[in-house]
Amino acid sequence: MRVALIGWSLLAGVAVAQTPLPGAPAPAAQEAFPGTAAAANPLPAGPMAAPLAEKASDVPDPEKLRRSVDALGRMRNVLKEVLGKLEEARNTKDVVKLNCVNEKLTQIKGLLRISEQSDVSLQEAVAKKETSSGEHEFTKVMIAKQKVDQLRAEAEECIGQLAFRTDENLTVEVEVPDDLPNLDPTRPQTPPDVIARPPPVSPTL
Amino acid sequence: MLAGAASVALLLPSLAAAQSPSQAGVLSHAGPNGLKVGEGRLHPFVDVEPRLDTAAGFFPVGNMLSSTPSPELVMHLRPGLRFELPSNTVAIDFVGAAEYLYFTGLFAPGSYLYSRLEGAAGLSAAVNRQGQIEFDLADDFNYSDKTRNLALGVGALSLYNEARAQLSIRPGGGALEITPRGAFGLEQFRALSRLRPVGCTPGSLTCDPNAIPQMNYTNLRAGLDGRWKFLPKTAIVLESNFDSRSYAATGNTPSLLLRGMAGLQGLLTTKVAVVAKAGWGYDFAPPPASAMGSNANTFLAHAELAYLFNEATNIKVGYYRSLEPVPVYQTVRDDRIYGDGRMLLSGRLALHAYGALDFLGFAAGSNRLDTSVTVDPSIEYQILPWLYAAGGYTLSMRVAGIPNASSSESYTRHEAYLRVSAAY
Repeated sequence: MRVALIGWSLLAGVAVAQTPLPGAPAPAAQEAFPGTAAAANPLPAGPMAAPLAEKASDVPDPEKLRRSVDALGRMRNVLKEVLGKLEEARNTKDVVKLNCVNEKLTQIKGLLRISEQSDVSLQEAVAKKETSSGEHEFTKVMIAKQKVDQLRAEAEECIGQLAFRTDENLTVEVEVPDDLPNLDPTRPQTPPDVIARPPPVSPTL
Repeated sequence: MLAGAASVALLLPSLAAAQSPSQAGVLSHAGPNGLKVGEGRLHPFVDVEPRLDTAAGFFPVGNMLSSTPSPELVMHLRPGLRFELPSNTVAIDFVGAAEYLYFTGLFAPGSYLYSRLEGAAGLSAAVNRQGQIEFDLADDFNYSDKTRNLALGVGALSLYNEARAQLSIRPGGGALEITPRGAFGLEQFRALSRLRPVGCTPGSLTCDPNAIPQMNYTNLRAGLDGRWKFLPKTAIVLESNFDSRSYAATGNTPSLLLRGMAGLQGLLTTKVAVVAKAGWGYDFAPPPASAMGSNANTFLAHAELAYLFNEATNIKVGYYRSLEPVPVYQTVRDDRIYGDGRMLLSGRLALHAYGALDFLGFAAGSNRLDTSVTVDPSIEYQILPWLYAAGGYTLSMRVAGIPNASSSESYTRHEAYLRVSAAY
């Protein structure tokens, strides 16, 4: 139950993003202008990007099953890639990169778990000829797959953040040799002034 | 812990002596306990120091003044107080001492007339020490026959005081430090005798005791320093100073001296420290009308190499070229070669030696080039936590680079001393 709640909250962001605003052109109209669509949608256009534009009811049940399996395979590949990046950040002891990649990885794992449950539910729905339930589960897998693609792109960007991104939680450890003297040689004594002290003359003759 | 404290206490006298002979023995007296005053500690101390001086003064031979200085044994009695209030909020450090010089007359009968009172004091206060913005106030006072006025050519008493203020701004973690500062100083001279030394022209500002008060001056100083520690013990520094020197009497030319230096200071390795700075000095004030040359405009430098055996034992050698305002000649350029070594044995025995050779080039078209030699070895031993004994020898030689110099302008002074100090 808890997993399902998390899953829907994860998917909500993408679902809202997919909902056209009142007065905005329909997705089909956007596809008619590829340049405009690409500019408006920062997500990479993968091989599975097109089916989301389709209504789930337009996709035959066998196709739903095939596409769902493909999406799961792709999501697992993405998970493997991001795990590699996490390991790379851990080996270089790069805390900033590690935190960034780990955040994306956690979301990808959650989405994959939801998608695997939805795939099972989709297969049951197709077997029982429950059209509405099948369409619902198919839509969940497709949205999750698109969200995972987006997270993969964001994990890639974590690499470039190293050079310039710092915050108040970032600490820098400086290794100081043990045998350094305690005194501060960056403040050496200024050489003393030359002092004049000529002999005086007797006060009386 | 005690050994460490003793080490520091032992090192301070020699350090103070090398830095400012006028305050030798004054800055050393932090006793083991002290009297509790508020949050601070007050340390009373007293020094007794017999000192043999081979150039105590020029005394009469028959009806004429001798042209060679006479030796004399001078007893120094120096009681004083030191107050310490260590704190990061407001830290105060004060040390002050009166000094009575008793000329015994053993070698030069009549020298007892020189017996007199001198004194020195230093006060420093730091607010928000080690904070991102630290404010420091300090004052140095000195009344003695020692002066930084290198044009002075006859023994006289100098009353010197300088008040200083500075801000230390350390944004971030403190690796970068920016320090604006200002100071106001004055020095006044009083003759010890009305008689002129042999060879001194009447009315000469440098050697006629009746004329030396004309060298009284005030000095306004402003500066801005920057320091960036790019390694834990190594920094790039930028230093700038502007001196405005003015005189009440005519016959002296004011100075508007700007100096700037930049370079590297700190450790090269864990044992080797360097100072490598270079810069320029320029006097904006016009030279006196009688001067044949132009005003001071020269490069400045400080190069020093130090080897640190440990924190209390080190040796260093260096070259230092500086430019300072001076009465009569407007500015004086100093080219110095120096060496310094100190060693602490068993936490109680401190050895120190300092030597310097200075070539002093006076400006205002005088072409005067003096030579100054200083040799100062000393030894100090802590007998008890509150009792110290010290001994040493000092050579001060000055050769004036002017024709027909008076007998007091070129001199050689040998001094041997023993000192016993008690501090509570």
